[in-house]
Amino acid sequence: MTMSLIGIIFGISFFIVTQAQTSGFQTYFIRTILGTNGAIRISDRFQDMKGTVNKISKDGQFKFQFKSREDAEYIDGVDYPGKIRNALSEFPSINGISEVFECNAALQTKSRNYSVQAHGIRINDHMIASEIENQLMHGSIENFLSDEMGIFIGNRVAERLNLHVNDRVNIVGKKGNFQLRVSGIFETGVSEIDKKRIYISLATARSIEGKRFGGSVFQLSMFNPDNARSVASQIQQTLGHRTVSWQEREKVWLDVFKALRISSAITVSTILLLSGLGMFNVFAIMVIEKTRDVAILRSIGFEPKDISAIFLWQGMIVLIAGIVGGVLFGVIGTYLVSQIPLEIRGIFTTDSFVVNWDISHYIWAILIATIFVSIASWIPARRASKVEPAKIIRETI
Amino acid sequence: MNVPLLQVRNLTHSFLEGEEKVHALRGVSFNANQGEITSIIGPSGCGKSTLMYLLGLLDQPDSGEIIINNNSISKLNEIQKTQLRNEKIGFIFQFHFLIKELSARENVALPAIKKGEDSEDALERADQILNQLGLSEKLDRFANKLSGGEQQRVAIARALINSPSLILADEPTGNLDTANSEIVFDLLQRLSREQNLAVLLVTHNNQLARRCDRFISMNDGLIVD
Repeated sequence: MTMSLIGIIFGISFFIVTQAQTSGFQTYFIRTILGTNGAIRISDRFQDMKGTVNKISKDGQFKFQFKSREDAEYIDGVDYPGKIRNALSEFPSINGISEVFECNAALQTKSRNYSVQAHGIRINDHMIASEIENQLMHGSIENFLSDEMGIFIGNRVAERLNLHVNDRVNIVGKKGNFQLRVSGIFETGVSEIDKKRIYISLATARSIEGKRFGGSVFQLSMFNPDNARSVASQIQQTLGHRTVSWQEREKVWLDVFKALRISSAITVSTILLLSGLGMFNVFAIMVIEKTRDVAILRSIGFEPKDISAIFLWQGMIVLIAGIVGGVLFGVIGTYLVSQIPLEIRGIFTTDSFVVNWDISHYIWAILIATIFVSIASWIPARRASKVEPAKIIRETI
Repeated sequence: MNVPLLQVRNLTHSFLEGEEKVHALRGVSFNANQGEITSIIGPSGCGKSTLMYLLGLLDQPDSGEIIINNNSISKLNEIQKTQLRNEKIGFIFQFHFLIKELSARENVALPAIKKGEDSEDALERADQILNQLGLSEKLDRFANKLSGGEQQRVAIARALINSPSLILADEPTGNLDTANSEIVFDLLQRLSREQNLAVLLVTHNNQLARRCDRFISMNDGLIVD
């Protein structure tokens, strides 16, 4: 029984720690990408719905319509940003709308040229639709607001060009070049962004690209980013523009995290299952050993349900002790894991294990343990309640 | 005046032993009165213990009727039978059947606790009964730390705690020496008189059987005397 109890404690705590750790990385990643690229991005307008399939039933009733984004033709970027913005403001779930004009450019310093991806923004809008304010390591939003020629650069860009706040740098685009002043240096944690992206004003971006109208995209933030998928679908249907939610955009990484979580949950549940099997064996043997006592209790007036209750109660005690111990060790284990140094530079940046303190991990661990322990004690308890006292007493004598 | 607490009418019972059907009882009828000890004697396998299990509602007869306190038990469901066993019938077995992980007083208190009595009250009453049976020094001893005679007295105390009307004693002295057998028999005799109990005593000991108020002899599933 002690081994079963240890197994349950270990299973619950390990479940909590692994879920806290895998979901911690996932949550951190989601926060990073939401803060950088928003919950929804609206880009190109559909020109032709070649991919539309209408299914009509025999009686002529409309059944369903399927629009394939892949088969449609697009016009590059958002055509009428003002109208799109007005339409988007009607969606109550959206809390930030930022028009972004993206183009390729090169930054020039005295010593070297460096290719970057320029994002032209209106900083007041972009602050709401992203976490740019929190991502600034040096400089300030005010610097950018006060200077039409201000530029925010990724920290890796700054390192490579040896740039600091207030330094001057030339930007060279397709149709023009300007001298800019570094207003701030940001770090998103996503290395691809930190080593390529710069933010400049929307007007400057259009000027260096030589495109006065169109071609921009919209980055949206939401009150509840979990609803991005359905809202994106509504926007695409309504506005006729390619609209991608963060879940769709980061599907590959999210699938990886999901696979990791499921995999670890299955592995750890196996520990609980084995503990449950161990407990089942202990109870099954106990029922055999205690058959005589069960017969005695039946002979003095105990009902079958009373006999079941004795074994179920023992299972309950083990379960409660296992839950208390498991949760305690789970909390301690999660904290200790969060202190382990781990340097990650890639899809996000961290210097230690990221953990997520989520009550659902505890609930799941307790639920799984409860199911296994209940089954492990219920079957032997049921068997014990079916003992025929006269037969046992006759055989004992 | 002797009142028949227990009336047994034409009781039959058979069971399978391997593939062979054993007719343990072939139509047994008798009465047992309050305030009397009725002994049942007979050779091994004559159906004495089977009769006790049927009377103790631990087994189901094939036919016939058992009437306790003018109520036929055939009309009772399993829960009612269990309740009747708990409240009105006290069992004493040859091997006393105590739970070894419990103390003497805890063993005795069990039926009362099952009946719904508060644990503390039940233990207090268990102490009183054990005191009356001369076990005041052994209240907290685990059952397996008591002598054979002491264990049997604890079993008698357990059978008495719910103030039953009927005591079924299946060879209660069968595993005891002569001195302890005398103590246990005297105790049963005294209790049947004092508490007006109907005691059914299965025994191999002819001397003890003849000292009982009534005497039933069984052979091959039938009452022969």
